[in-house]
Amino acid sequence: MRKAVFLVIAALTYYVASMYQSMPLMILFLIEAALFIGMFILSRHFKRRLKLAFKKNGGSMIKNEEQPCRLTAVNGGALPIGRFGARFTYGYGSSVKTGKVIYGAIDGKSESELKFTVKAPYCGIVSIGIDRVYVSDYLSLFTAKKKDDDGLRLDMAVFPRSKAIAVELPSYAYDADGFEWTRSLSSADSDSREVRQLREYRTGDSARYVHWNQSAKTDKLWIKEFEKESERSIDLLLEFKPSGEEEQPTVETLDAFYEVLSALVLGLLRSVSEVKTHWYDYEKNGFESAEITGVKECENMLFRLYKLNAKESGPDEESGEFFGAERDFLRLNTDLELYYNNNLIYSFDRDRLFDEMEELRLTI
Amino acid sequence: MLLFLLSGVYGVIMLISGFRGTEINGWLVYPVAAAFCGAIWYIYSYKRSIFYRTVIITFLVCVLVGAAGYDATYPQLTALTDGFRGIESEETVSITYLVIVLLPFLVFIIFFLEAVIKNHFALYLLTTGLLLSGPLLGVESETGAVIFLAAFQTAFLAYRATGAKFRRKSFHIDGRSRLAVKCGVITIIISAIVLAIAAPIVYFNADSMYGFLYNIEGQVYRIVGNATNSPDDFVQGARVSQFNNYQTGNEQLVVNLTRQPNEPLYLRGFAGGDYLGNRWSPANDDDALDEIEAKTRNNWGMIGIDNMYARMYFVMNNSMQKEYRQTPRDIFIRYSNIDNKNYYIPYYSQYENARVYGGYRYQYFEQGEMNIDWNNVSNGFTQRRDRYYELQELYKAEAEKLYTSVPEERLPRLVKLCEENPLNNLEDITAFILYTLNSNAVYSQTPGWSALNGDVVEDFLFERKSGYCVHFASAATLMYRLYGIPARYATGYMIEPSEFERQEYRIYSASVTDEYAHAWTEIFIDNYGWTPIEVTPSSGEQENDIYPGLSNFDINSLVAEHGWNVNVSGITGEGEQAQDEETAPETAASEETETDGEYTRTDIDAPDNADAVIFIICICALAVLGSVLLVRFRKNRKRDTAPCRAVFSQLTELLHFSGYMLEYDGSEREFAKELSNSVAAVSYEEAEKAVGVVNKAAFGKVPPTQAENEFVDTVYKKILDFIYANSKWYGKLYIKIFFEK
Repeated sequence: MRKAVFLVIAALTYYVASMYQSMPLMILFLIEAALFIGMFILSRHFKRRLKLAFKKNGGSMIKNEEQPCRLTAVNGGALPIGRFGARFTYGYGSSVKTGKVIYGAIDGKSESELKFTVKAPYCGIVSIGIDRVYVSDYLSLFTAKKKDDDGLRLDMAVFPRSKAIAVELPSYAYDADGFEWTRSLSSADSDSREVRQLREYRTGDSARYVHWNQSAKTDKLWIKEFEKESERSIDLLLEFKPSGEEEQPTVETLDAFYEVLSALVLGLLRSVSEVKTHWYDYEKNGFESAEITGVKECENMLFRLYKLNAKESGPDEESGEFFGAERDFLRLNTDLELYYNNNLIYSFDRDRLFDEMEELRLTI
Repeated sequence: MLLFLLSGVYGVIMLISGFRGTEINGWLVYPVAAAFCGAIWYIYSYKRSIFYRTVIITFLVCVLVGAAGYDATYPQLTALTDGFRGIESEETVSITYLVIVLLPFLVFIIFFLEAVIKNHFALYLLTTGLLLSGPLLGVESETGAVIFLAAFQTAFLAYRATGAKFRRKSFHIDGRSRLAVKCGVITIIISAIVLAIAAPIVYFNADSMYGFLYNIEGQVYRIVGNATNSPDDFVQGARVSQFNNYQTGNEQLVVNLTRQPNEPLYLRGFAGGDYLGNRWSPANDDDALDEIEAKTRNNWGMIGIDNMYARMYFVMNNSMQKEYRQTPRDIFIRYSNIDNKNYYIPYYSQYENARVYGGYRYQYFEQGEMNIDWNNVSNGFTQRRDRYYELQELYKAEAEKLYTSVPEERLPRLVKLCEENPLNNLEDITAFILYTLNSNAVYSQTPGWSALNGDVVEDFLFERKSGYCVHFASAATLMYRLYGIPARYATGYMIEPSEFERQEYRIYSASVTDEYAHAWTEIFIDNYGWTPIEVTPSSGEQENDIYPGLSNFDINSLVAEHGWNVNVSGITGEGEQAQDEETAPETAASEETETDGEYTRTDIDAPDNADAVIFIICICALAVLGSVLLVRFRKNRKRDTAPCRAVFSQLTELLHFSGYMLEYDGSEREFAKELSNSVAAVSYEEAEKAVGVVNKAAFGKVPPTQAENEFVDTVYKKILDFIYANSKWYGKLYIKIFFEK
């Protein structure tokens, strides 16, 4: 539009200059014409001189939260660039969408930093790239565009917000050495911790911990000795098994899966000291495991899963034979079905996932 | 930004000063404009809280001053509006007072749009409109105005474009203003370089540059004309065209003669009566002839006085005694364009009949064949001769009333020219008219446009000094009338004898296209009646007499006798004649154009803008000096109020200007370390201590001591010395001016 207006004005100037044989106006026309050509050349020159790069190559962010990023612009030319823009793309795997354009201006022979924020809608590895750079001349008549040939890209791991599902543990779990122990109370309730063993009363023991039933039966005072949380763990098998005709789980499916997984693991960690997750790595043709004791390990595990899924590995078909009948375990698949020893104990609804996670008290 | 603003204000003032009949005192107006610009910029930048209050008070003061000086402002306003309407006043009126009163409004409008609401596009369109509409309104586009406005437009375009989103509002970037100014200055430098290259190109090739467009426009006109088969209307009819003359080349008439012609054949289709400004009303003899008929008691018989008058000179010439009598010629005129219903009548003719080959027929005599002798008419014609003679005398008296009127208020300069050159006899008058036309104007079918609000004849003779037949004929007709000679403006076709080709049956035929359309002047001459006078230089070789009894040779003699020099413009800026032949080449002409004919030389006055250019340079220098002083004043004031912080701010500015530590603004933790690394003259301890003092001044509860302030100053001077020593000459100059080295 601006270019058209400028051209029309230049043409009018020439017309009036010719019709009134006005030398000053003819000079003005030549200035306008020269500026028009000059600005075209300048925009191309600026395009060649401007280099963009991300300040860092990777990082992590929380889903749906704005994450500040920085882009470095370097102007190799002596002339300042009054305006340039970089169009962003973002995407998960092969599905890339065009995002907004951020703008900047930079002095000659200098470096400038552009700050911007990104917001990722799904969990996974989001690739932020610049697919097109626009550089304008001083009068903004021409905008030279260049495609990103250098593969300017920033991979960010997007983690779900740390939420935990309220979980009541299974009847059987294993200690660190694999011994079975007994439980009867919900892990979510601090007043109803698991009794690890009974022992005889010693001086100084609180009457509160006397096991009155057992004491009455045996005529001895028995004291309840509670378990230590650090000694407890639970196995969780992850299945990336697509439902229906889907060959690969979609971004939305995986997003929901990661949300549930994260919330489940964090929920379990309130009751146990460690959650062992296992999944089948198609490339390595074997099972991979991660021992999670906190949020950080959870994120590491998710990151490994992101990378696994980013490779678009094939479906997992052998996970069912992992534990066999030896150990009890939980199993979560991408259909958001949670199994306990192959018994379905809960199926999450993707449409109301967050409400469910908020309200759910999962008893296993 | 102040300089950008100033250039816009100066450009507009220069445009206003170009209005006809007005002048301004630049020595007063330009400094005042600079003061207003500086004041409004300063108040907006540093005292924004009182900005609008100050503006309103200034406006009120201006209104009061304008009202108080009503006796001065009213005539100046009238002169300005007259100039806008294209009305030429006899004396140039100084509008300095009015311009100074209006200056705050102008400055505020430009500043408000540019700096407050940041809408440059509106101003860009407005200033472009002013520049381009100037010539349309007869305002001469001065080079200074164009340069200033071009600088204003491009600089602010660049300024606004820097840091602006594509198609959207601007975004925040650090140091945007500085970068924007830099971009604006670079754009101005590019424009200045182009100007330096373009000026000589235009000066030496202006005609070809104009001609390029004329060729295109002519081609378009021909294509459209051929497609629509529309005839040329730039010459034909009552309108005196204000535009270029283009022809389609379409055939309009076919003219057949029974004898080979010896003279150019003038076929009149229109005769002008009153000049109405840019057009002529049709001549109407009916009332005059009715009055003659009433005076002579209605004794003109069945044929009617109008018919008698129309054929009088043909009949008289055809009624001479046998030895003096000439054989009349026959002319057959046929329309090629059936829509054309106008009659084209040869001079000294008699209408014969219609429906001849789809046209009509006249009998006529050529001018050289006219030989009326009232005493030698054939024997049976004496009674009618007397009545014809009476008719001629009576008509001549009526013609003097009818065809000598001029709207003098529209043509003040032409009236003044004739008044300053009083002449009495027809020969002298004709010689003066031809001399004036030929020494002041050149023939061109593409003279460009004339101002839409002015008079085309005055514009042709006094401004453009270039035109074609309608302009020459109109000017000559009006000049004849101003001298009291009955004259009419006539249009039609003029066909040279060479255009006729002999066909079978001894017919001489010419195909008449719109290229033969022509305009001329006719004056009333005894024994000839209305006689065409060729006043357009390009028409023919002028071998024939100007009119019966006055040859080209006679004209040359008369011109020499009066001391007129056709090589020197007869019209000077003051409407006086340049008569001194010896000084003439020095005072006028830097360029001579020679076209066909003896009188077709013209001189174009060399532009004399040297004073204006020097003045503009002085003003620019003053403005630059003022800006520098203002910047230094601001810095000094800052240093007085917050010494070490001001010094530190100056230090970061100095570092950035010199290319050091561009990524640091002084607030960084590692600033001191980096400073000592970058500038060898300062140790880390010194740098750290200086930064500590500045932090104390900025955030501490107790202000720094005098000694601490002086320490910061010492560090600053060390750095200044170091950078100065390592700078190039222009860097050193800048440091000397802005950093008090």
